[in-house]
Amino acid sequence: MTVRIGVDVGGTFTDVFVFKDEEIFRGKSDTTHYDLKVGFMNAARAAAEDAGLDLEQAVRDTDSIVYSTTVGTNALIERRGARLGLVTSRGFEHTVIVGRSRNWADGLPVEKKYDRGRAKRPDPIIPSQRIVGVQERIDNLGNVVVPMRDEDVLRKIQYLVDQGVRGFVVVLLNSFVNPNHEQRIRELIRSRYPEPYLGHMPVYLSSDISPKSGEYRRSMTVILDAYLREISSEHLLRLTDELRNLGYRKPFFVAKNTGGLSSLSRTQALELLGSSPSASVVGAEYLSEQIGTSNVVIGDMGGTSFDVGLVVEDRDRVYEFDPVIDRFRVQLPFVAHWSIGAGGGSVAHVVDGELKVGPQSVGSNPGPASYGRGGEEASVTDADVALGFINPDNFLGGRLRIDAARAERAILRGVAEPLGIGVAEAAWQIKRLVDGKMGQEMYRICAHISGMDPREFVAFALGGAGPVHATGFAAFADVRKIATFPFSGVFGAFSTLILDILQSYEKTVYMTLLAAGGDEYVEESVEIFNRAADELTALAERDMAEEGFDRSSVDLRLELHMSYGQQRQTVAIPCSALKIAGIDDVKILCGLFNQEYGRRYGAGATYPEAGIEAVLMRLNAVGSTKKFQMRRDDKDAKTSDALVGRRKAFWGPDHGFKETPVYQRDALRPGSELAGPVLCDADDTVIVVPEGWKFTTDDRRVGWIEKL
Amino acid sequence: MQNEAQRMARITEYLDIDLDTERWHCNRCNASLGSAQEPYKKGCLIRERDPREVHPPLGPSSDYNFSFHPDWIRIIEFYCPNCGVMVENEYLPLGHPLTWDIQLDLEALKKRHSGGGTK
Amino acid sequence: MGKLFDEHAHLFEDLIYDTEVYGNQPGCDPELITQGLAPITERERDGAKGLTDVDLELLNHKLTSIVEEGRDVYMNLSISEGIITGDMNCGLFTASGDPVAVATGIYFHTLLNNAQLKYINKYYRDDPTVGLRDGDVFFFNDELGGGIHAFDMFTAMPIFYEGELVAWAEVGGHQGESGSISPGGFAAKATSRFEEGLHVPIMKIGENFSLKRDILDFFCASVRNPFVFAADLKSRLSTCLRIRDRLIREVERRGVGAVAGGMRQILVRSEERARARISEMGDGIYRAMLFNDELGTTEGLTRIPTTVFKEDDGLTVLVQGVSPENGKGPMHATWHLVRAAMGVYLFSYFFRGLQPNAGLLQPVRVLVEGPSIANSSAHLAHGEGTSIAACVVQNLHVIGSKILFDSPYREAVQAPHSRNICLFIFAGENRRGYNSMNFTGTANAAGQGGRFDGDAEHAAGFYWGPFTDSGEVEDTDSRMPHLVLSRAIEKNFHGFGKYRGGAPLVEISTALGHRGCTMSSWGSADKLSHNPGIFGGYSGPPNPRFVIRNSDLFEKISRGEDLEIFSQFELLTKRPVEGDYIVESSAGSSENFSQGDIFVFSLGGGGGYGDVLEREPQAVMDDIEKDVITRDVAESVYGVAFDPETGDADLGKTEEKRASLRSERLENALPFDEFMAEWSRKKPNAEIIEHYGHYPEPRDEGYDKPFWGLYK
Repeated sequence: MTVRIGVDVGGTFTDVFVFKDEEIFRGKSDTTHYDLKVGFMNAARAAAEDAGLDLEQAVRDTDSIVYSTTVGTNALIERRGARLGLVTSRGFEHTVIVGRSRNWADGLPVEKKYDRGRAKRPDPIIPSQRIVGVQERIDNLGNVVVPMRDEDVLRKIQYLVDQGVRGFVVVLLNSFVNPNHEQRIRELIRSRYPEPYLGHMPVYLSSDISPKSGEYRRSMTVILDAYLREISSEHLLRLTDELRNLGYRKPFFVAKNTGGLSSLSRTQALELLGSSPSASVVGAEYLSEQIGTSNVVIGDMGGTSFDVGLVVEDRDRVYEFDPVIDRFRVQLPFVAHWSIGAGGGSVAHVVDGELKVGPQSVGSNPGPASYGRGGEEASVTDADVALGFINPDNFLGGRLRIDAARAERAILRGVAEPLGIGVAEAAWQIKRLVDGKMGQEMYRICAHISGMDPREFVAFALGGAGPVHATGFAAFADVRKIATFPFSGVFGAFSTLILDILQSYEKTVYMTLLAAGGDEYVEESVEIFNRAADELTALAERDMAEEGFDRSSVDLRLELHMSYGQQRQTVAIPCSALKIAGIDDVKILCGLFNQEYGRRYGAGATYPEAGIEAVLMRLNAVGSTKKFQMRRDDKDAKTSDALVGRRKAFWGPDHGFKETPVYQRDALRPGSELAGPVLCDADDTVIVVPEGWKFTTDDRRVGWIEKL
Repeated sequence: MQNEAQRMARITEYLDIDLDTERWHCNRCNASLGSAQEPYKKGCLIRERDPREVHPPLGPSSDYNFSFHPDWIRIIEFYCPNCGVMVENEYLPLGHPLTWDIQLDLEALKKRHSGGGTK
Repeated sequence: MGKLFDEHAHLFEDLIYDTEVYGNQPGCDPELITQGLAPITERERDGAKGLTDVDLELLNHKLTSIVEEGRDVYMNLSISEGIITGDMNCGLFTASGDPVAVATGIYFHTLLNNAQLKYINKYYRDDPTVGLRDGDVFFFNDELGGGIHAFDMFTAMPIFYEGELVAWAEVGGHQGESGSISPGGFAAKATSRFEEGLHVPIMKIGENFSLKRDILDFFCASVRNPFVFAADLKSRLSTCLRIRDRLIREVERRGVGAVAGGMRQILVRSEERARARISEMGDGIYRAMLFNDELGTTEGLTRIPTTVFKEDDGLTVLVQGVSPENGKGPMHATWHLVRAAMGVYLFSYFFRGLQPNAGLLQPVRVLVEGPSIANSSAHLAHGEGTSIAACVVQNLHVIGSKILFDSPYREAVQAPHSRNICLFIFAGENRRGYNSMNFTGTANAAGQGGRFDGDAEHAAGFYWGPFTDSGEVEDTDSRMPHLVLSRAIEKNFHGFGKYRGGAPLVEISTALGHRGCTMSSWGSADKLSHNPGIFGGYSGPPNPRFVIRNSDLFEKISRGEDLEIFSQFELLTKRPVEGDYIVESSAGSSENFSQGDIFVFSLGGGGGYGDVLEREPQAVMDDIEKDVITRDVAESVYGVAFDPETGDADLGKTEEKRASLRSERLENALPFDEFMAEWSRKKPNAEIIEHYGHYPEPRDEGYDKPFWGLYK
């Protein structure tokens, strides 16, 4: 028997997932923000019971535990991080305070991004009185233009210490090309506050943590990482102790937003943020291989947001290289997912006689009016209730009572009366508007990022509300086929058990492969390429050895980010080897780049005459883990015993309310086929299948919704 | 301060209009600033200032120094004659006429505020 | 025309107000420029039938997501600094040529690119020598036919579906170099448009979805940076293609009628919303006034007044009493530029929250007096007509705040964003061997104006492109020839007030290497300011050009000394380096600079809101701690008393001090009549007002009213 446990501590719920052989068991509990491990223990106990094990037993038999948490996110929101000082280049002390001007809009919902009159920057993580500039300047080629002076550094350090800082972040201009000044500052701090003694303080160098061009993003990357490090590791260590006390002796991994796992000792605090939706993308990627779908667009609809992710055939994972965390742009190879402010909690209201949905959300507390927790505003969930899609008596498997009357009252007051229409029609308009916006955003992201036609994609409907709205948003996204899963409500936790051990390394590397003019390949690029590649490979081997993988069992994937002369946009080109032999390989790389560029932006857009450059090299080191295989059952088309009754559901102004057959999803055998309109209830969601669509289950119990 | 009988419309940060008497009032001290048919500036005390008093000149040049050149521009400040709050100011070349900046249609104003004043 | 306008407006005889002063030009028909929204077509009327609010909302969202995708493509692929940092726009237009959805960068570009499309429809489409076919690509940059200035360049592509023209895709922005007399496009000393480089009214530059080689070669031969130019044109082609593909798919899904009708309905909706809002505001006449101090080849005072008649659901913006044309430089605007520029204020503030498109300008009647610096003749240089248009917009911003205060939209009450432009354009070989010429992202870090309920943000975007990014210096390092030594929020460089204006980032840099670099600058507001405060708030300060030549900077560096060169204020008060400190007019032609020469560059700070004596003493102390103001400003301007050691404000003493300042105000002030008796005797020196027109009223000899604006 092999047992693996996946844990996902979300903002509202903590999900625990147990794989026993080929079976999956789940446990859910409220997240306990005062002490996250309490929620974890409750959920774990529930999952163990579900698996027919007692918790101690389960933990002792477990081969590995994977954990993903939002502790960092909350600490950041509440500004509970470490008291840091920033040492930067003199003349650039305001860089992290004002950022890049437009950055005031980073992390804001689209409705606020253009409201410049009301622009307001976030409170800085490090206030100006704890930022010092040391006189020095290195240019973009690594030449020292202004030398640094020790006494100047020591004076500034002393000032920061007097300000009561507990750690130093060091970000100097162009340190990613020439780190000498940053390293000298660390030496000086160490000499003042030697490690063996009390009062020793950590020093975070940007040239170590994020050796990439862009002083604002690099600064925020290092600052946030340092800011969250203490609080995150303290939290994770407490949890590890708890598990050790329960007799757990095997490795403990954390899920990272870079799309993999690593042990605590090999994880950056910043990599913990948003790891769950990133994991979902990897989970989808893995499942798509198993169920034989090639291109997937993920639609994960929860209480407050709609997360979109992509899996594209024969293409490397889609990353976002400078994602926004909280209100700050950082540099981190984030497995891309785009969050749209539309969820079950989005508020429906009427402005200037027009229906609007969102951006405000009722959140999980008080939550939708139908939760009966004092919420009065009409939300998308209330509309789903009023339309009869959600079963009031069996919401979340009966864990939460739903008050349909309250939902209808809220919609009547908030939408129907102002628009002068009936409640059902108002609810339908709410659903249509939110489905349309989600679907159209899904279309934009899918088409723009993949460069392909969304019609070539299958949608994975995830999250509690995903399957309820799937046919709605799929229609607007131009997608005709939707997959739902028995565990789509807890897909994030499920996915953490799909992740491989992963370390990512990035480095800004300026090299010209093809000189401007377009006819001379540059010899010296070979050496620059190999030097950088060797550097990253050495780091990868060191870290993966720590994770218990020898060189032979590690998969190293190198890619080069290339552009035409002086372009800011780069295209990642996978390299077939970790070294290039000579000018012919340079030619090949340039050829691959032209090809990929033309595919994305039109052949007419390629411009080798401008020369071809590389600006960044990236290495992924992957050590694979044992993964869950979806069990295949024999088909058996008998569906009658899954039919649990009928429910009035509203199918649009043309059809009105219809008595609609309701099935119990978990009772549906593989091979079942149902024609819409039909509803399938499950513990964590409802699969809504309108007329013109059919629902089938395959031998892996994947539920397919397809347009006829 | 403002007495209860007054129906006031708040027109700017510092200016109210009494909808019945059609007079400008200081929003801070309620002093009357004259007829709302006329520019409120007529009811203010007015002072010409050398712009360099407010914007300290910098650098070697008397012509270009990140301040206003007094041969070109003066600051005209308008004060409430009672409390001395600066109701408005203008940056004008020497001798240039003042600006009648707010000339309201009082009938329309009353109609808009028939429900009562604004604060 | 409304009652107020009829009673109070008096347009001068023999001057033009409601159109360009010039008539038809090559590729330019003023009638198309001034017509506003094109008449609704049959297709649009039928298509709109049966579209619900939700249909429109979704179409609107769809079109917006299409142009935003286009913007991302353009900004990613282009390599000109202006575009990369967002000095650009990307739009979808109706088949008739009216802008429906825009992604930006810069809003108002879009409002200017309708005339050219309408011209194609009217004159070229059926002309066998030009024609209009699927796959065509058009280019335009001429300022007379609807453009801004020669270096803002645009590309458009018709979108056909089954042979029917359903829409236009358009993309473009600040290309920079235009083959003008000074590198980088800006020709501060040009006195004729023929010194401003390339003028293309409208030209078909591509067919069958690709650019024509011969025309590309023609462009490349006409500018100094052919490589940047060609790369940018290619990126525009990709952008147009992307927008076209997306819209066509939408037409397949919804049908031509629904899309064409829907686009038109979106414009109609915007107009309805705009009118509804205007109706909620106070009827009246509102006035504001700004002056300019630079002509280009010489300094000189000119006047740009603005009067707004707000009646019922419409606005009439009257730009009257403007100084005459002077022919001394490029500060000459066009009627359409003044009108379009208003979008910069109206879209973000006055109509805050409404969908920005041409519909919003429908309720606004625009009258710009000409021939004048605001509505000028064809032969003149127009490159910096933006300075004149901006004065109108700043006036409109001040007026708008006065209209909005007593309305449901007080949240949009704010002093104007800084437009005291002194733009530095650097040219030379960068440290990666490329020839570059452009301004840096610091141009996008001007300060905003104080708000009715709080301080402004510092460094909040470019005046014309509020949604622009000031980038990162490490990136500038690899693109530009010079080296930035400091980029920081500047001291005492904003408008003081109850709520202060925002300061800009000031970039301090040096030429580097044996080649050095060239730099040309342009702008005005050197002895006065275009950044007024409101309701007693003080103006943002003037912003002249500042360079230091022949400095001993690198000697000091090699001697390992402290360099106290990290703020404009320190440089000017402490003279930390030896050298020639040159503070002069922003209008500078291209000059060479060598290693050690220092450039000090910013786009100025916004005005303040309200009386300085009402500012919270603690807020004043915070300004000191954050290096935004000096202690003497805290004492003399804000009247705050504080402990110099702890930096804590003494509330009691502050109240006394402010009380005495208030009584000092009253002692030194005069009642209206006495004041006017003294004031109206004064007049600027003759050489200052040489190009002003009659003083004080440029168009009205012997004007002697105490208040400007009383023409009857």
